[in-house]
Amino acid sequence: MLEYLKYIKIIIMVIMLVIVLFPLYWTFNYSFLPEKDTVSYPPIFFPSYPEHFTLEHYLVAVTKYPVLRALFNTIIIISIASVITLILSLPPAYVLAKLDFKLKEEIYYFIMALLTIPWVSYTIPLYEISRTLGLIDTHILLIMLYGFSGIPLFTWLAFPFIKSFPEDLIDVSRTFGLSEVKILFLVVLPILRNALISLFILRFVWAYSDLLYQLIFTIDKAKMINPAVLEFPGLYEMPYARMASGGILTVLPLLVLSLIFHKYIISGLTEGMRITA
Amino acid sequence: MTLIVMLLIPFSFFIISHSIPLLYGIYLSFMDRNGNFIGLENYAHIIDDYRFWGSIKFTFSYAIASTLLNLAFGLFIGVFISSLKRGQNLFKAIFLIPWLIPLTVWGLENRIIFSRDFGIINYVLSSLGLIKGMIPWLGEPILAQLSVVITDVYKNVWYVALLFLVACQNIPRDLYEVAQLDGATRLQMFRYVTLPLLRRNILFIGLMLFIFALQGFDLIYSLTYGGPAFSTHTVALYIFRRSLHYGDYEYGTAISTIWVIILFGIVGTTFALLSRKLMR
Repeated sequence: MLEYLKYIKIIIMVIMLVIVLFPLYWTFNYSFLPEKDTVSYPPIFFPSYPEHFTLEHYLVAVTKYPVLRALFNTIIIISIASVITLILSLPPAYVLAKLDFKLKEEIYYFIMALLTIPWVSYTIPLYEISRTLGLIDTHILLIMLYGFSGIPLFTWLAFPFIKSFPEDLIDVSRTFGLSEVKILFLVVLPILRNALISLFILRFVWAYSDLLYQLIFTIDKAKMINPAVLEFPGLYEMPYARMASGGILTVLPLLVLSLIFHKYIISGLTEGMRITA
Repeated sequence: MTLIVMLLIPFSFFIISHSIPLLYGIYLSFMDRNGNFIGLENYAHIIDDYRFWGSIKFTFSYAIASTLLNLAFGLFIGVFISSLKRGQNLFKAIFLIPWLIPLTVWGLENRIIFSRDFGIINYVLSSLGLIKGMIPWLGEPILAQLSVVITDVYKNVWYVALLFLVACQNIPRDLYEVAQLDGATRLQMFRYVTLPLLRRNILFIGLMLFIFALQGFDLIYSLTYGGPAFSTHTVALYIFRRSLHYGDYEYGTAISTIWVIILFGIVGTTFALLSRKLMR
């Protein structure tokens, strides 16, 4: 009986792995198939050289569409913006976690409630304002938007990390006459380096994946990756393989990032949960 | 002084770049296209706007369905993985992959997978003999709504499972040993040890999922673009199309004001109150 259970478990594990990885694999597969193979029935399960293999879609994606520039724009904009987000949300988190003052709880819950305001409600007035200021489709606008929009969420996410920081170390630093700003940046943050990295990566991945602002505020010069990839399916054609190659190109930077920083991502995603919940 | 430098100044960046535009948007909602004050006229239009109410209905149904399914399957998968002796770290790494794929790309991928004539789903179902003919997953209103929920759960459930897995790993082992000594079955252990201890995590994760699902935009934009026949319009997509796509900015701001009131007023307050209760 127990033996059976073991095999059932292994089977479930394998099935689960297949299900999790399938969409990515399928996109990968399609991105190498000639377009005629993507509309074959039954489907072709893996690209095989020479008949069912082509690099054409990647070539088309980077030559006929502004994908490379969009990737470059996105990585630059999001990297700078993520640093800004962290710089601006760590001090409030520190203040809320480690200092005592009037209305502290009210402010904390107000920040939480801010998280429920739908992003789309900011976009119309922001669009009007940035059009008047001539900022539409500029890098600086997107850096500001992604830099500032994450402040409430990341104040809230950074809160548990800072909260768990030992009080004694802060008290000792105070006796040395360090100001609270210096304590945060010279004492607390260097020790919380891992948390910082994981928060940075969370911000990076979320902003990189966001469509709304990228779609509304970038047109050509500052075009970002998500709207760029959405241009692949045309009005009257559905080039599956080309869409797939665009998808792979979009995911690639994130996959590389996650391979390098894998252990930080998990701790970033789950640590906050452990302490808040 | 410290408060000004460390709380007020950093937060003013958000206030100036987001909260003040939001207020400006509310101001715009009382204007017509030429900037004349028209009072509540835009709001009066909303009452007859059946597409708006349709999008509200779909948004809430979608958010509730995807939240419940994500929680149920996520909890099941998380508990299952945490019961494994080996391979937990492998699953932790693998479960991150769907999380890394932007929803826009996820939508495009699933357009391929759910395609009526060439999609793998129809191929698998028909070769197993479960269906006759091809199911137009994204071509019929009800099916398209269902597909949106399925693709959402397919993407998010792994991340939810990861959170539950970590939460399970934090439950002290001795609790299970004691339960085992008392002769509890596995099901009883789940019911009387795991579930009560995860209650807060479940509530918390559920709230987060719900809030994010109510904002749903990216996935639907790239998967169905609200179609067919407006059946998968979320409020966010509807506001986007009415205002930024068709240029009806003032009406758009009126709808989004109502949407802010619903979300910030009802959901935001519940969220804050509930987490306040949890923190105690």
